[in-house]
Amino acid sequence: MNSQRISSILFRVIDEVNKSLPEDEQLARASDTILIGDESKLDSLGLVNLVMLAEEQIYNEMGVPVSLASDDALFKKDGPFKTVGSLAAYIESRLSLAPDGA
Amino acid sequence: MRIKIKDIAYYLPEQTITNEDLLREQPTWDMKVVEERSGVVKRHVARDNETAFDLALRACERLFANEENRREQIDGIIFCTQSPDYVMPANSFLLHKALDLPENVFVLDFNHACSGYIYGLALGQALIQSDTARNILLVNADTYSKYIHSQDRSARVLFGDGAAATLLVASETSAGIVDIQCSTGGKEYEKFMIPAGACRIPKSPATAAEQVDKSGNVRTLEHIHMDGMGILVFVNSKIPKQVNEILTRNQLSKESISLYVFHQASKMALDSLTRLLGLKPSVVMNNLRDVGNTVSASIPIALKDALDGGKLKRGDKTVLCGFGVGLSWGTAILEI
Repeated sequence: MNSQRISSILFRVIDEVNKSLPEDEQLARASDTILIGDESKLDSLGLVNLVMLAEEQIYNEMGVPVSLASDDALFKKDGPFKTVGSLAAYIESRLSLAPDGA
Repeated sequence: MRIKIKDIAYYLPEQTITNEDLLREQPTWDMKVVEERSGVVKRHVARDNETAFDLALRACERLFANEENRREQIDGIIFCTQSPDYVMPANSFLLHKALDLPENVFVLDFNHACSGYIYGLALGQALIQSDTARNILLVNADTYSKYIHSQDRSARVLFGDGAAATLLVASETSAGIVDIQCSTGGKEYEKFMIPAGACRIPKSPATAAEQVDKSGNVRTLEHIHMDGMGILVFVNSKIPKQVNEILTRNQLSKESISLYVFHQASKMALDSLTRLLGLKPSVVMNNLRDVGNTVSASIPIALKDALDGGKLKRGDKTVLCGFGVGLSWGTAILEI
């Protein structure tokens, strides 16, 4: 699975998450959009929603069950969830390690 | 000797709160998204003067109505609740009185939350196999509504009140508990707690002060605090592993299980577990819509609904799995 395809999935997830965000709090469809930390427009519920949607979309499109939230360390400020781009890279690495289930 | 569930009965409070009710009360809440993610449309909520004990008593009455002389045979009560009537004595004593049971009855309270049914089965199994008791009344009852701030969307949309009563006896066939695994992650206790109101941080004007989180949820230190992402990490990392391990050590495949009855935490949690375990949705029980998350009563209520709905028949194997406060989690394999 290439990074462009993963990014495309994440942008569609962002579109879905944006439906429940106020107009002035929408996430940008960009690799440098910040997902976690004080600068993020997402609250904790929004982040959980994004994670769940991403897992669902990956499963629906690829048939691969992936757990993106399996370790608290993932949600540190400089962890994989820092930006859309870092999340896409993380997903790609998880899928390349265990294509039948990550 | 296996221990089996002879019967289950449950009771949900008559008062209900629907998503429409919540939207009228809290117009800024996006209930469409809430319903999609929680899976809950209606939850039952105890009245102000109605306690978990009251709900439990009604569940027990229904259990005893199903067979003559059942009450008289009870020689053990295990009461699981985090919403006791009093600091002391425990609810099992109140139930002993209400049921007018004789003196030679073993009673015990424990206060696990959503893993409470699995832990209760383990305790009941141990008591019967040690010949301490023969007919165990396992009660799971909670009124979380009394611990949730009215403006805490994260908790209020999920939880409902309810009670279940289960009769555990020795089995004369292969029906019963095949295996149980109970686990604990005490280091993570802060992920799901009520910080104030007990002995560590007694109630005070400071603990009653309202706080607003980044999501706009309002709560005080005397209300439920849930770390949503922390709980998600916990569920994703621990539950699939435990389910796979218990199946493997019993030489059972995932496909040999007729129905998985997970704690009805939320639709998000059920969908995630279904996906991570590679299960077909048709074998995962879901009765969240009109019941909500009823804490430790959620598994017996869902199991009872599954049995009454014909989703399980004699000889079938089912996996029950509860997870929550502690953090704690447990999985049981049962043959019906």
